[in-house]
Amino acid sequence: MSHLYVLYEHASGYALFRVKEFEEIGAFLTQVEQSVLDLSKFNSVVKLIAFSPFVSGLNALDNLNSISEGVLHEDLKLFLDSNLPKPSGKKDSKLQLGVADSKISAAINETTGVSCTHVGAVPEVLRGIRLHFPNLVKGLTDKSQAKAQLGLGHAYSRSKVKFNVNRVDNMIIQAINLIDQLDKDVNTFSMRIREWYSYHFPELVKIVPDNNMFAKVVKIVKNRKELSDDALEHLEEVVMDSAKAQAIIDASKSSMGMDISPIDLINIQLFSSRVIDMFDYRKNLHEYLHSKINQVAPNLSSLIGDQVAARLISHAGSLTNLAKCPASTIQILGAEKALFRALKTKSNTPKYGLIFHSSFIGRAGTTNKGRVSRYLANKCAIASRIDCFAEIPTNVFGDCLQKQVEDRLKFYESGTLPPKNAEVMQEAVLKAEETKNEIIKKDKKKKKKEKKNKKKEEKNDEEEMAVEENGVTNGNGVEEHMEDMKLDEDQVDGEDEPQPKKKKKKNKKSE
Amino acid sequence: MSRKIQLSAELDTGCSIETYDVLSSKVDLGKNATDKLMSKSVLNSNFINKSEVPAYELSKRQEKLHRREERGKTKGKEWFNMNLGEMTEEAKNDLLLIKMRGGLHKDRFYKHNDSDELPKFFQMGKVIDDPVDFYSDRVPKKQQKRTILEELIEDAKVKKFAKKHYSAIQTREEHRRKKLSQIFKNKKQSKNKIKK
Amino acid sequence: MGRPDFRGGSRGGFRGGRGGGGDRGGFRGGRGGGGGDRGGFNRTRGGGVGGRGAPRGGARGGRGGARGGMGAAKKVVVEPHRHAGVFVARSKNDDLLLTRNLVPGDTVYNEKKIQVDGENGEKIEYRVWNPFRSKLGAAILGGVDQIHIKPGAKVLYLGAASGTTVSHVSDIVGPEGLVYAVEFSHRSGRDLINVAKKRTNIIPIIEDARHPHKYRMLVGMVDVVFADVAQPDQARIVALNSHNFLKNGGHFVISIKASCIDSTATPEAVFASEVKKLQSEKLKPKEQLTLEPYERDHAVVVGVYRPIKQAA
Repeated sequence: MSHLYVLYEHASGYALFRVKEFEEIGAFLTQVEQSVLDLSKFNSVVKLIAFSPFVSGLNALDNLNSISEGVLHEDLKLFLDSNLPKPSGKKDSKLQLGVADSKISAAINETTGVSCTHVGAVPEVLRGIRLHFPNLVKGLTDKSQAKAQLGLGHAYSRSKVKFNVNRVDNMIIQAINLIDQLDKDVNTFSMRIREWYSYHFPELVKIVPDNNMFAKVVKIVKNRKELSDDALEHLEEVVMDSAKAQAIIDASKSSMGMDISPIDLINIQLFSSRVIDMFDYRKNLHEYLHSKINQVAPNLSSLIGDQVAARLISHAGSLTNLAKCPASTIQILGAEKALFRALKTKSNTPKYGLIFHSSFIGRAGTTNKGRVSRYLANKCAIASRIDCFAEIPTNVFGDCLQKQVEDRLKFYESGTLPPKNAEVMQEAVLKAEETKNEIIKKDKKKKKKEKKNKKKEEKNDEEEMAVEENGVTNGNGVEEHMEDMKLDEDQVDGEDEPQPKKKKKKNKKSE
Repeated sequence: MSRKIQLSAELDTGCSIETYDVLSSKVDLGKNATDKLMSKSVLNSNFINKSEVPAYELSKRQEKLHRREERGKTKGKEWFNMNLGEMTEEAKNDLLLIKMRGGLHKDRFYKHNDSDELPKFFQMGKVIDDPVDFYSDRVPKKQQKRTILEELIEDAKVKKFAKKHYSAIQTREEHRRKKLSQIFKNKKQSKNKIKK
Repeated sequence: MGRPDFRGGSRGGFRGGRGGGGDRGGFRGGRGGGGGDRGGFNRTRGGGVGGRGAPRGGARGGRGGARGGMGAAKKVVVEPHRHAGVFVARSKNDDLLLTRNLVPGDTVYNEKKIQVDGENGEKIEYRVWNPFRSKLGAAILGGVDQIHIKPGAKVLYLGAASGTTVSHVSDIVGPEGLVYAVEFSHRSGRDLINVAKKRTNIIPIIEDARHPHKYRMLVGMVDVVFADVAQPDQARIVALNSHNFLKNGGHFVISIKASCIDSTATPEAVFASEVKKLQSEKLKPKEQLTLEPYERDHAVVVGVYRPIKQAA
């Protein structure tokens, strides 16, 4: 006679069932098979002893990861220790634990000493439990079970896929669009300031044609009638030209503009400070874009520059989409209207779209513009594909490709033959391999450091836990757990690219 | 957009219209507590028109009948409660057209339809344009039609087919007529011969 | 709905492969009795969607598919299909397979949408299902007798790929149902997760379908197992998953790609050997269908797992 217990791992927690005692396995198996269909019959075969829900979504994910790896998690060990009856002295009452997987059975046997099995009647019993589980555990419904599975499924899959937060290209798309918008707005605002301030000081526009500088000068000059020679230093700082600064002061003394009331002046000042802020913000945004595109598409950006690279990605919709584009499409990306018009009227198709803005095409002679554009588009296609599919991004290839385009330009100008493509690429591959290895090494070192830090922290935590342990109660019901899962799901619904929770924590620690 | 002007009818005069307008049940003032209570009652304004007091509970048979009737109104849960289609003249024409479209497209194979009736459950829908579509795939608003029949009439291929088909019938008819008239003539001639 | 009666003894239980596929319309003959109470509205029996011959545009794959042959037809009539949860749009030229969009306004792979004005001004939306991109769609158009996937069903989908067909399955099962979508590849798994984000009845599982015990915590008992894994050991994969997660009397639908299992043998022989393998694992095949016009050397096998004996 043996006592069979069955462990069932569910998305919402661990459950332990006691199976009715049986003599012969063959007869028992048929009995289980027959009873599986009927809940009341099945209830007579197994009985729920204990159910311990996971504390949080994170905790559940942790447990799931251990289960799928066949490792005994702390929580499971605790659960088994507290709920499995202690083996009594009698020799004939043998206790056996049924589990779903051979790996976990070995792990449990090793650490707790309980003899485990995953064959015989166990799979059949587990099937029955899986079917009737929502009915066996109080407070768990079919709906809430689905919710728990959904939340945990998303968390598990996301951690498997490993979204790299630093390599999300939609941030670039937003940034480049914002920069374009800002350029437009800042320009119109600057025109407004010029017009406005020119009532008072019309000569200034001629002396300071630059928009940003103009706004700054307006802030310094204020009322031109009150402008004294003391301001010369400030003006010099802004316009970075002593002659110009002097010219401003001279002009202010003999301006033909009309007088201005203090309240008007205050408004102009406010507006100009706004515009200056905007200029600064645009600059910051540009730096942000630069750093971002170097993470996402290092090769493409070093080939044709940040702005054009970002525009290409934005126009294609994503880096993956761009990588899927043939070179001929990349060549005229942004000139669709002209292309379709050309196709309709059977005239010449455009030579270039967005890539026109790269410096290479400007530098090429008129007759060679089309050729250079085609060549550049080819290289862009290669660079974008490398960026999209490389695991560890480096800009080695981008630099090489850029060099190639330069050489090609030189060839058109002076006729010096460029090195062969195959040779250049071979070199690039070797170089890329080297840099990759370096990066991997660095990463490993970092991880080691992190581990050390973690261990230290854990030690500290344990000490703290030991102090707190007396106050902690284990009264978490299923319902409460469900709410945790719901939170998880909310995250799922969110539009933003979710990041794996584990990573977040790590980052915090490393910070 | 909400209107900012307040209508005089919305102003609270302190006494409800109900007190003045008991007889007219058409004035719907929204459901208040009594309305809600009375919603299931049989003693409504229609009650006086009935020849007998309706039974409090439906009999089992009637209930079954009622349920069956309700069930017939939608296609059921398995098709997300699709409603009965509204068989207007236009809808009927479209459905008939679809039934007989095999005749229009001789170059295509259409699966045989083994029912003589028109479908009971159907919805009239339209294909939504995607901004991603190529421009020649989109149909400008001016060229969009209200029904499938109208679309068909404007279809160049069908037009061509109809024209060809029509002219073929015409020539055939002409031929037949000529033949007939020839035979007629011959008969006449032969008759005349006999007479002679 | 009368269940098609595939009683074992009378006809050997299992209909052979379609092979030549000459007569697709004559579907009725292959059906054992019954089906009398089908109701008047199930007019089109064998799959229901015609107009196949001419426009093969969809074979190009990609986005062009849904558009193939649609031409400038804008107005369509939407009718229920023989299979639960599936609809057909009929236009002046041809027919399209549809599912009702669970998330109106959203497309998964740039497929065409069809809008219908429902009662009380609500808008109902349908998504066009391209049989050239989906084996299940091809099976339905090919005239499979039962897909067993219907509103409210729980489906274990092995080999979910980017989630294009999964999205249609999620449309069919509706908000009451569940789709456990298993996919091993990380690249397409990413797309799958993105699809699942918008459709709350899809549970994405990025894991190898060969090891069902790895994701046993995430999956409950299901009504249907659908497999499109294109692996040599497909039968074993399906069997393993069925033993763990498929209800008694639940059904399985498997798409078999002959060249993936044995590229030297003839497709018919491969299908037959796969069916044998399934039979040895308590998976009882009931129907086999080649997906000829849509896929080359593919077959769909539909069957039942541990059939429950009905009390006589």
